[in-house]
Amino acid sequence: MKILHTGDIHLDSPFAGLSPDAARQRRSELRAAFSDMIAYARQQAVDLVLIAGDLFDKVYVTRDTIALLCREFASLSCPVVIAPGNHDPADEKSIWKKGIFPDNVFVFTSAALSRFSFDRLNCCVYGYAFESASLRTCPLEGKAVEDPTRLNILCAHGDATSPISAYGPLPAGVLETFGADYCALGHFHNPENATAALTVPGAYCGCPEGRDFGETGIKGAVLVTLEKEGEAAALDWKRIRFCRKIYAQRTLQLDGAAEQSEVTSALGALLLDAGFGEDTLLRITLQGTVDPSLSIDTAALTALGTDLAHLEIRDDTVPTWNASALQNDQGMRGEVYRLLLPKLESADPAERETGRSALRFAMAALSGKELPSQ
Amino acid sequence: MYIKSIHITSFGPLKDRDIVLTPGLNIFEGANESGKSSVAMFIKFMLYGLSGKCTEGEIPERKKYANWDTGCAAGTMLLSTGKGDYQIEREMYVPVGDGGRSNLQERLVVINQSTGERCFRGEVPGEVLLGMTEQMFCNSVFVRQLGDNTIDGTGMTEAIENILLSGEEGLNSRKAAAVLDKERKALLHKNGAGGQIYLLRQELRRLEGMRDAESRKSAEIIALESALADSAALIEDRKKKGQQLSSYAQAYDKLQRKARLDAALACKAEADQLEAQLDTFTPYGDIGEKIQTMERLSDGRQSWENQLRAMRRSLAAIDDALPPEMTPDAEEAARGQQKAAAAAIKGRKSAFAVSLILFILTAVSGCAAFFLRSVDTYLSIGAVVFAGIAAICGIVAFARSLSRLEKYHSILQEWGVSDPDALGDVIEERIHLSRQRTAADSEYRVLETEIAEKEAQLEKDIQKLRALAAQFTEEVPDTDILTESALAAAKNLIGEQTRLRQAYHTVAGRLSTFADVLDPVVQAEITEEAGQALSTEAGQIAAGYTRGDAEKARRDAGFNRSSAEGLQIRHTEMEKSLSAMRAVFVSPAELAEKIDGLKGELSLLEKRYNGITTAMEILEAAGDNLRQGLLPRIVSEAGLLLGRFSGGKYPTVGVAGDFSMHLITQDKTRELDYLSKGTQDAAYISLRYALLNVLFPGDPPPAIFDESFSRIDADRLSKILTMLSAAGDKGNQSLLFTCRKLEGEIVQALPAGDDDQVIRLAAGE
Repeated sequence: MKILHTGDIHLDSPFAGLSPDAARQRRSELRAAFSDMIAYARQQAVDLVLIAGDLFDKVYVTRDTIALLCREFASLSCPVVIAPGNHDPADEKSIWKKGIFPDNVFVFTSAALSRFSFDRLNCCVYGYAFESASLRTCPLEGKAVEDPTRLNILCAHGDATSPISAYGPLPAGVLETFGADYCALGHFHNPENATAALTVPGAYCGCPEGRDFGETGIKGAVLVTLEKEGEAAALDWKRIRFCRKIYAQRTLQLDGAAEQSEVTSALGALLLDAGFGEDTLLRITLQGTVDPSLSIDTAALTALGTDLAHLEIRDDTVPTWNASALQNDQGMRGEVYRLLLPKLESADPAERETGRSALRFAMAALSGKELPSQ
Repeated sequence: MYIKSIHITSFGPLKDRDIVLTPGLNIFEGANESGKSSVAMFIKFMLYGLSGKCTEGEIPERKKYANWDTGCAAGTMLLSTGKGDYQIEREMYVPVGDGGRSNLQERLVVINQSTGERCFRGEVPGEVLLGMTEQMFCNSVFVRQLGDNTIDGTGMTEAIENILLSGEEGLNSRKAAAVLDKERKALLHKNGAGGQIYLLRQELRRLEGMRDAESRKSAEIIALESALADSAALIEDRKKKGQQLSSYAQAYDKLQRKARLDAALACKAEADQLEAQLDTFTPYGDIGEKIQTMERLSDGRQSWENQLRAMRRSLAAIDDALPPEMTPDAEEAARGQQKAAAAAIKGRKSAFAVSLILFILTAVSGCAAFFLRSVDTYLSIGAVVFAGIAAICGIVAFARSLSRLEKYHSILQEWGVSDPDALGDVIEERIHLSRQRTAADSEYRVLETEIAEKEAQLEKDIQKLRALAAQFTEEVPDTDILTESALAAAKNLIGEQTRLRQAYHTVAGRLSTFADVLDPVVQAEITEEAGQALSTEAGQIAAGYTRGDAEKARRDAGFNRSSAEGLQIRHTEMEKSLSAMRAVFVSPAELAEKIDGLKGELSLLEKRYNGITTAMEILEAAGDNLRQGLLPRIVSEAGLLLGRFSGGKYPTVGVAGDFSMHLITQDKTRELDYLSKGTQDAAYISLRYALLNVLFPGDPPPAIFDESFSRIDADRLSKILTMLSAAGDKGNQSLLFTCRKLEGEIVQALPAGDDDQVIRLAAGE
């Protein structure tokens, strides 16, 4: 049996940090990625599509998206099982309870464990729904599959990494006792670590499109092949890329830089070496100690990312290059530096940032220069 | 710390110059354009390099001091420090025009003379060896030309204030604080109700409220759309059902029309058949009328025969005993006699009375005549005449009375009556009988005629009756039997005919109701439509329909149609509501992105605000620290120096709350601005030198004065140079660049010092 396991799609959710046009385009791409998944399911003739929660963002979902879901689900000949998550909970006003989806869509609408049985597939899909934005109990607690000879699948949105999670805790012991042949889980957008931590057959699907720089790398869904003879199940799964864009992060060391041109050439070299293409949304964090007189124009640097889908520059540099000279400066500059030193060396990044910007502003103001824009 | 020697390979207008310096006061004396400032700048170049920055109104140092032909600035400098001697070699090539180098290239080597090894790679020699930044070097060690009220474009007073305030001539922390405060205000007012951050927060709250509202609206729109979809499906279903049922009903109608056509055709056939049957009665004509005629004739015949018998009996009964009839004249005559008798009796009485009267008159007249004879003869004669006439008339009248009596008696006698009163009755009886006789005679004659006529008519009727009867039955002699038989047959025929006619009328009546379908064109249409209907599913279903089913289908179709219309109205209203909601709908996600963007912007501004406020706090704290630590020492040191320079006139330097500098004499305090330019310069130099001494108490760097004493009088200059010379003895090297000879002369006039020298530079050398 072939299963397409996806979730955490977050249709209609906002894309932070992008321009309105770019954000609109990303939302379109997210929809396109969803449509691609459905087309892939048709092309691969999968027997079952599992959506492990957070299909859309309840707060932001639009009519177009609902129409898209209905249209895409209707194009499938196989069953689609949906376990609503914390972002699309099956509350009283939820569209899950309006009965607007095609007949091949099966939605869990209660936080209590329930199941859909597909006799043609000799398969039972267990699952539950978030009824609000959080779920502090484990619906699987003390439960086990009813017929171990059937293909038993758990489709759920939950957190298998913390037994006290507010998002459907799924303790390892509970999952093991439950005895599913495959746990199709959703919640973690970067699924690798959470999947590796599972002690039962299964995977976190991750999101099909990264939404911000916290969701870097290639994103997609999971194609599962599951067979069973008696009580012995043979499971194989692999991740399939569906994302149109990839979020990536890099750091650029700028120790000693005193001029914007130095920063520009260093950034150009990094972009050239990294070889990112138009499918990349790149964040570059500038690090290192730079000359206190240097005020980095990140807007100008952003303009270098014409070959990228998006380039974001973060300036984490510390304007303490030639610190010894400042340290020895008995005048106002040295005093300012010395007073700011505790902040500049603070363990708290926010404190460090405040110290950095205060130093830059103070130095610029003392020099009669225009205050740095950032 | 001091500079031992310099070798200028190429720098500005200078080439291949070697200058050996003493640890004390070194005066570079030369005319304008002799390269004094270039030498001073060369020292800075060796220590810090040349800036490529283009400051306002000036060309960059690199362009100014690199050789204009080769683009090269190069040389070496030997510096002696407390840590040892270091040779600095620096070579810089600045891009120049055609044929020159295209890129900036710089080579810097610092060699520790005691070890011969290269050191301080990648570091700035000035910062390592002097322990100060280039900026600080410029603001403390390097004293440039003092112009009118300005030092490098900065007012003297401000420069001094900067030193007092910031420990650096070029730093105005108050201005810096003001700049920062202005920026802070632009970001957020102290009361939190103004500035970019405030506006952004306001906007953020507005957008968040809008996002929540749009999110709710989105849910409403989705719910409405869901309801609309349901409504549309229901409408479609109703319409479909309505159309389906309507198609059934229509198919049923078509089939019914065909059935009606079939019925009409059957009816027509039946009517035709009846009509043919009725046509067989045509030879009989109007049977009813004939029956009536026969019955009338038959009845008339009997009546005639009865009448004939009665008439014959009447004829036989007429009385022959009646007196003969009187003619009218006779009757008139009889009645005349009666009248004559009456007139005779009446005339007789009248004539008698008249004769009596006449006789009386005669008598009277005779008497009168008698008596009148005496009176009047004539009257008596007239009376006699009259009596005579009366007597004659009386006689005549009497005679007539007698005649009439006789006539009366003869009439009575004629009629055989004696009683004159019975005469009338007898005459009338006679007349009556006479008239009876006349009537009887007339009746007899009439009867005879009538009988004859009736007998002829009877015969005629009988012939006619028989002729009619012969149409319906076989002829038999007996007319009654014939008539009876014919009537029976005719009645049977007319009964059959009536039945057929009734049947025909009934069928014709029915047929008339089919008039609309009997047209051949219409028949063809109906047949074709029915055929088409039967070829459809609706027709097949409708074929099994009863009328009740069809009516129900029609009713249901109507219900579904009206229901669909009602739903459509509601649907349209919902669509309007939805359109209205959609028209003003803004995507919550887009709003959220705007909010995120604003939050990002706000976060940046808040970070900037934190940085600005922190910088302000730090500046204030640094200023306090400086005022408490460095500045009192600078002021004290500067006071000592100035007192020495002024020959004790200004033993103390004071700093007011606003950091303005005052020179304090024994009894007065004078603001710097009110003193001479020379005194101001001296105060400034005192301050700079004091700064140097305070900042570098152990191993002070060389002090470089580039035309710094041009406005100071000879006496005060002498004191300054004496102080510098004395300082040189303590290891404080001073490099003084001047275009005048005065400084050299003063130094040469000073008590011989080992470390003082005058180096003369010639233009173009």
